[in-house]
Amino acid sequence: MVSKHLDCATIGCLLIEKGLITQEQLEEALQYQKRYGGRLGWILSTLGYVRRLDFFRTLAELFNLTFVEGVPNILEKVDNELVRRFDPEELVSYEVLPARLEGNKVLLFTSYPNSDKLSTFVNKHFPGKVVEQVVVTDLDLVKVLQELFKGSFVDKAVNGLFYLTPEYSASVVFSEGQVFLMGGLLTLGLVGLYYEPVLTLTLLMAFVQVFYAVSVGFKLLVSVVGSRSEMEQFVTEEEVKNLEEKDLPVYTILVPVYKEPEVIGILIDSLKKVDYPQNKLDIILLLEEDDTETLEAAKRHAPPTNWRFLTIPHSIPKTKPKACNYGLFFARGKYLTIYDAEDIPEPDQLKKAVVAFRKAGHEYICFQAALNYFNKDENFLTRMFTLEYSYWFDYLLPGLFKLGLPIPLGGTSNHFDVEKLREIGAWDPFNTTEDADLGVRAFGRGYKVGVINSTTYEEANARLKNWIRQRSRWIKGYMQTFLVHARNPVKLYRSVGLRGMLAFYLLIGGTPFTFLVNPIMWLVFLVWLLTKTQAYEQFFPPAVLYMSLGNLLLGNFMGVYLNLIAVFKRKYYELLPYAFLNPFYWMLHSVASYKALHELFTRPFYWQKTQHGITKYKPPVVKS
Amino acid sequence: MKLLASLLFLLFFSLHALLFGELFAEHFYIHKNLLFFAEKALLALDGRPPRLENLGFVYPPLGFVPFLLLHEPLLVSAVMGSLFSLLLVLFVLRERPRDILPLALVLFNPLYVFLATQRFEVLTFYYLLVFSVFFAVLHIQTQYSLYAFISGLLFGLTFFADFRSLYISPFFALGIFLSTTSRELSYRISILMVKLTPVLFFFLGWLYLNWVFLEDPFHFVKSPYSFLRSEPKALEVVSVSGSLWGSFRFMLSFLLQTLPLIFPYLVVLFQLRTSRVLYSIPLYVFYLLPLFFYYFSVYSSQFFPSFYASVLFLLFALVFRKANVVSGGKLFTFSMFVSFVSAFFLPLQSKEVNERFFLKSFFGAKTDKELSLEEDIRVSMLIKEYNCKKTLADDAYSFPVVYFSKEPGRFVLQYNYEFYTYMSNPWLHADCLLLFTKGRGDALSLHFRRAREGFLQGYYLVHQGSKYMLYKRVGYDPE
Repeated sequence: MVSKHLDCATIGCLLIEKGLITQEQLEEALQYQKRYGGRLGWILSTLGYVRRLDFFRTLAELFNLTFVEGVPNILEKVDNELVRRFDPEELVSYEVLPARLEGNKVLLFTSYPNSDKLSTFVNKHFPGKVVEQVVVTDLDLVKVLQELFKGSFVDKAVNGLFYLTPEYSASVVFSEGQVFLMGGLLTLGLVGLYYEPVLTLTLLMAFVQVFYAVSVGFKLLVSVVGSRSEMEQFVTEEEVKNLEEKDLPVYTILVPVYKEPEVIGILIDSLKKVDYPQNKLDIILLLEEDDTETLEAAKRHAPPTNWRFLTIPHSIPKTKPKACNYGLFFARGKYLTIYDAEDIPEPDQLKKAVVAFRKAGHEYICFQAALNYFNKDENFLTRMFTLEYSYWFDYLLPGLFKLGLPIPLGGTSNHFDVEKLREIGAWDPFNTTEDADLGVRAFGRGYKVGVINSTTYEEANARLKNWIRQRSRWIKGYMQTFLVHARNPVKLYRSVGLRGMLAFYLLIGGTPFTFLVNPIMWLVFLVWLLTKTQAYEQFFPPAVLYMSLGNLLLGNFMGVYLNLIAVFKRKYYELLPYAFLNPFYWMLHSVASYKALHELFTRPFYWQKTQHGITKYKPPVVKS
Repeated sequence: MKLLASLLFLLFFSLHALLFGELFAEHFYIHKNLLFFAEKALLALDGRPPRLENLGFVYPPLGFVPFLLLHEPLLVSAVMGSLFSLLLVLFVLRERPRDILPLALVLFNPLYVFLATQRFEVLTFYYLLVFSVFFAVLHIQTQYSLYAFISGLLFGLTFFADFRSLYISPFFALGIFLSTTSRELSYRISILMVKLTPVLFFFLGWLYLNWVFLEDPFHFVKSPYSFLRSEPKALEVVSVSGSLWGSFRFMLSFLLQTLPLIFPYLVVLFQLRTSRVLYSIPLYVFYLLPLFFYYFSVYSSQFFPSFYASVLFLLFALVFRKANVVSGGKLFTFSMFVSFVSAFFLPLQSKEVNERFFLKSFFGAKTDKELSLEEDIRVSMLIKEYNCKKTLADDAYSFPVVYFSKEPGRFVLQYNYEFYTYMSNPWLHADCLLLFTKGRGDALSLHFRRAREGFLQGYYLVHQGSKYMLYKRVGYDPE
């Protein structure tokens, strides 16, 4: 096809002729294209020099095609029956909508006219037909597809994992086997308490003490191995520098938000400064239907064209993983990551993830970046939270990575290979720590999860109630994840091996278990300390007693000591004395754990929303 | 590597077990400390009632731990000694394989072998100290927090191997503080806290256990059976204790006496000089820790001039040489050779009877009656032969008998609540009485003064030896 503007064969020329851009802007975009590759019009658009609508309208003019604007205008031309014959995800990926087939003629709406992928689509579905292309904006195309396949997208976002692998879905909280097992154990315990109370309580005590001892040993081992990450970096600065930027793939960033108008600007600003070609960033803001305030706030920040706003239709459960599943349908990237609205990723994070994927091999599905907090000095809670995260992401996760054990992913900044993510069914919308579950599930499916040396700064929860809500959701999710993967121990063993299984039990099952048992043991100890009662002696035979004392002194010491170390990597020396206050922080965990346990039975899929934007601290300025 | 390590472990184990077994079979010799740990562990597991406080809390607990698992002195000694030796081999050969000769000269140094086979708890302390310092040096060199973490933890554990490690904590802290002079104050304090938290925590934990179980947090210091009073007293040490200058002079003379043994330590001391002053000063502070340790032990009268103390110096020399890649290999090897050869002869004059006997046994010495456990074993058998079900005994002295009997339930000992009731009227409760009569004697021989002469009302004497008297009750059997 030939442009009506005979003297202009390129979109750059046409945009200048129409007065939409200046020559300097074109020069800059051409330089940009030379360096990073990609479509010139899209580059101009993502650089903010031309509006999305003008870009697509001009594109249509360039190819002498019709341009249609607005969802109703598109929908009125669409033959629903024809469209429903297609897989919606395929249409999303080819950026096309077959609107009408009349005789030998097919009408296609597309946001990428005359492209190779459009030809592939046509050859596959309409060979030999005369094709009429109509240009629409990428946003209109997505909105139309959402409108046409609303039910299908929602159903798949909610039940996709269940349809694919029902055994991995947390939609059933307890399996039949687990109900029987729990019932059996409870009965056995009660019978034991009635007939052999001493033996029963001794066995229980012994079990708890052995668990504590093994758990402390495990954490020590993992932390020591993990602390070696200070000495070696999985991705070096040199490797990032040497990346051929033209070869960088499109990277999708999902930003699930809900009623967070006050913090959305932070992310928009920091993503503008990300060291990654803007034209290769595909940023999708996932909004709930009733969340107009965040949408309006996001619009006010006027993000560039590479941002898309997707509204998730109302459905139950209303959770972040469901929103992410929904966003995944529309993701264009080869890789994908998730950021929360208040996140501030280090600028080179995406590049590091690309390097990591390239050097680590095909078995890697995900790389987790470290999370940390910018408001660490706000109060006791934020300080403890920062210490905890510093230990978790800087020492424990690298240790798990090095030991080849399953890694429970963090809530954000996990970088996925999109194809593999779709293959394993993406996130479980019924799980309230879908990220941890995904890490374990991916490991079980034979994929590896790695850790990259880059940090995303977030806002630490600074209010107690808010913290307990958030923590109870996480712990409930750990319980769900444990219940899901422990349904079939033989299968778990076969998929993750003995070491992986032990790590899973200790980390995923052990974390809530520890916090639930701690208050009981503290009470036992306190009673003994105050009364020096000899009634306990019968429940504490020598081996159990020695282990209990060992756990009391060495176990608690180790918990504190590991936290002391956590300050060094990030030079948070002022936080070091707070590590000694960990026992008080553990008490808060126990409170959250009992809340989580209660909710597991009463509201298993309820998503306790964490309120962001309550910090008094200003987020740090990210250098581009 | 794993195969090599396993083979080496087996080799060391066989050698240590053979030596241990030979000494026991030929001379009825086992170091008393091993039997002490073994007996306390036995009481803690099988005593009536079995309680942790049976361990006594007066000794650093690390010595007991292997006995809780392995029970037998031969097994414990051979396993622990072999593990330490293997650790040293792997550690040294990993990066400095050319140090194989000096390494062998340490591993086969008779004083090291003595510790490996008879005093594993001393060797435990030495290893913990030397490696805590090694990792502290690595931390200075690299600034990696992992090394600070390990260094602090190992130094903390030294307290559980030898309470006297508290004496050198200030110097350890000084070394750390000096090693971070170029950094900001918050970092220096943080590193200090990381490295000293374990030792302080373990110290406070020990106070707590003493308080909870024995109602006095300082029981482990005050008790007459305290570890801090466990070393035999040497007159020349007692005379200088409490005097800074006197202790210094004593230390100096002791070092001169042991000069050939610690020759490698001095060689490395002079080779440690580097051009970087900020690096050298803390390095020297760390390297001099053994001197500080012994000096304050002398000052507090908790030192006995034994030659095996030189092993700590040898380990420091070997490990520092590796950590700092000092040159002068030939001189170092020569010094190790001097130390090795002199270790066969100097200890023959030692005042420490165990190391002296151990060395003499290499040259075919006869059984030492003082050290022989023959009578202890015989008495333990007699207790069984006479079917003693409740033997009143003071295991502060007669612990070897309790251990060899392997049945602590046959004894009523000081940790039992009823001990003093039994002592006030033994005839009603105890069917046997075991008295340790050597020297001043034990609590029972002090209480039943005529018993030492062979008279104890209601009992008849069934054994009298150089150490023990065993009485059996006449007629009455409460059961």
